[in-house]
Amino acid sequence: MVSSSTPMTAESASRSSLAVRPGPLRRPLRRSYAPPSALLPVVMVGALLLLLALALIGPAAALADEPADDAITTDTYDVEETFEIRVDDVGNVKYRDVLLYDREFFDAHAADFEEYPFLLSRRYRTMEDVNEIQDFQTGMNKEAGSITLSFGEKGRAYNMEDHWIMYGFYTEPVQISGSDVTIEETSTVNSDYTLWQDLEFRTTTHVSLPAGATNVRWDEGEYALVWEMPEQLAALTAGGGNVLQENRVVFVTLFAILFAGAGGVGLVVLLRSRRGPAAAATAGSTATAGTTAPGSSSTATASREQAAPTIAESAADAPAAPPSADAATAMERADGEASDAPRARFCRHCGARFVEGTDERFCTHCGKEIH
Amino acid sequence: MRARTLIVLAVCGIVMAGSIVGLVVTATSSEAGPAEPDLSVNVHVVPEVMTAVYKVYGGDYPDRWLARTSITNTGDAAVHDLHIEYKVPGYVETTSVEEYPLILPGQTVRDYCYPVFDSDQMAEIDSETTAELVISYECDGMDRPVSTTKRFDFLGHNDWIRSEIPEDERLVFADWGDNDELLAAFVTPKNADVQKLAKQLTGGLFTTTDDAAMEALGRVYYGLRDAGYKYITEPESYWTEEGAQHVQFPRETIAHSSGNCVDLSVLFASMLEAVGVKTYLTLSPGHCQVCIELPEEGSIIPVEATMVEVPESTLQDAMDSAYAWYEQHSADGAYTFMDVQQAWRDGMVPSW
Repeated sequence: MVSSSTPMTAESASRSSLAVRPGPLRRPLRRSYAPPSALLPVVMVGALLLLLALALIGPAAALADEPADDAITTDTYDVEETFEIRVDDVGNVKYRDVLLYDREFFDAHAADFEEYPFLLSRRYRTMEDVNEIQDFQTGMNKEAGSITLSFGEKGRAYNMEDHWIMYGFYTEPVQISGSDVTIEETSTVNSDYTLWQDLEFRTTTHVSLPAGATNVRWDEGEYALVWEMPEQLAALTAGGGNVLQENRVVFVTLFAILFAGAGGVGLVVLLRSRRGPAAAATAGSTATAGTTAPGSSSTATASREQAAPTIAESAADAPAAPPSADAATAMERADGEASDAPRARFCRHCGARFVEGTDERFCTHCGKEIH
Repeated sequence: MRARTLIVLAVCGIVMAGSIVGLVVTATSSEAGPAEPDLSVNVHVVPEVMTAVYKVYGGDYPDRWLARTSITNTGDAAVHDLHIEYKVPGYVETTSVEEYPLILPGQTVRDYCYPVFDSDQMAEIDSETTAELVISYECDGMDRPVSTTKRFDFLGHNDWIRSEIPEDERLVFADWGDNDELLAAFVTPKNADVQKLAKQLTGGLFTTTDDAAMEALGRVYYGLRDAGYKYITEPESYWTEEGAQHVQFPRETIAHSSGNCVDLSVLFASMLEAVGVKTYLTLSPGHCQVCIELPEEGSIIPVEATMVEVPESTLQDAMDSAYAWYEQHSADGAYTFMDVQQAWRDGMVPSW
């Protein structure tokens, strides 16, 4: 158990106090750390040691309150920063950051940036090492008093399928016009770019989203810009997806119906185109059967008799109307017997049957000359 | 046969032929699966994990990740439903699985691993220990996940790398303290040993006034002084070129009743934060001090914590010494403040 043998109170102590600035500031893509300014005000408290303390600390307090001749204060210098961000169709980004310094500051410290060029690049080098950024370039315009940084960053925006999102925007845009976003910010930066002096940055950020970006908005909860690319999504669906595969059942059914329908229509047309002569032929054969082959089945007779010309006759001698489908079927069934039956021929004018070998010169049906 | 009939038949024939072609194409199409993904995957793992600040890696601090995976779709077809998962066998069996629904040709996705390590395991790592990180990813069209393994080292749980800026690029004092904010993770006001000691020394105080805050500071100072706390120097130079330091956690300083300037300042900060006093740690060449902020006045009071080893020293002595040091080093900028509570808000939360 430890105990305090000599309590100290505020009244009995002469305190040398310091004042510090707020903690680190966060900026996208840049680590900034804002330690307190160098010289800070001193407050003296304590009745018994007041005069002595003032004598000791007074000079320091004076230093803190009034900067030395060569000191640089926030009130005197500032930086106008223009940050251009161009986002492409696949979420990659090109940056161009122009830091326009207060003329006096630049003239006093440009040589430092030239002597120690790593000041402008070392924060980015580790990001280059892991390919977070590429093609980091720096440039200095002494006439304008500016430094320009440019680099690319792949995968800066994320594709969430129905929208894109790009994080790291902590301030609400002042303007969103089509695919262009403008953000204005002020911050106190103490970093490599200010040579560790607190400078007031006035930053204007221009974000150019892809041309097809729609419904561009700022998500306050995510600190992010959000947009949609409907044409890109539609093109992806049309070009990248397999419509046949995705609708296989529909297309198989459709093609099957088309096939069957076309086949059916073709068959019907084919049959109808032959119905007239065939009907005549059927009528003729029936009539002939009734006279030349009494007692036999008309169908069987017709089959036998009609099979003969299909096999034996040349195309030139073929009847104008071929046998009907039924007759053809019957012909096939009777094919074996056909070779034994008398060879039949048909009148080339009306299609009526007559038996070859007869002496008839004229058709018994239409009366026209057979040969 | 009439010409019209022939035309109709020809049309029917064409339709039938087209239907057959359509059926064949449809059937062929249905047999083909999704296009084979063509991905370029690049994994970068930090070579050394500062075990002392293990919680930082599992938080939202954007610059403190264990691994970063960059996946680029180098093929002609879109990649759907990419999943990435990380494991540190023996330490972290799984991290939250990240899902990326769509990666277009030419698109890159960057995924970061923020592992949540177990506090007991981290506390047991006394010296550099090698571990492995297994990264697995899978997307539509893959038969099974693809895995790759990378090695890294856990540093001992007292190791603090003060700066990661290359040595030849350290230009000013602040460059040596690039990781100063991480020191806040060593400030552990909720540790049981810290709580016990702080309450023993400052019990009954409500530190909402300047007087009470000063009273708390005095009780802590004299309490540690009277308990015989010793100032010990670092076995190896604190300001080594590597910028590394062995830092004791407050519970260890209490157990040893001793520490160097960092250890004692961290202990002061932990005990004072434990009773509601806002603190800062200041860093200067070769030295570390602690400050308190008066709640009403807002003034910052620096204290030389190492003076507790001087039996007859007073709090006034410690404050005067600290202020003299401040005057000596602040003029040339070699004196930086680290706001403990701000650092906690930035994610450098107490480790234990």
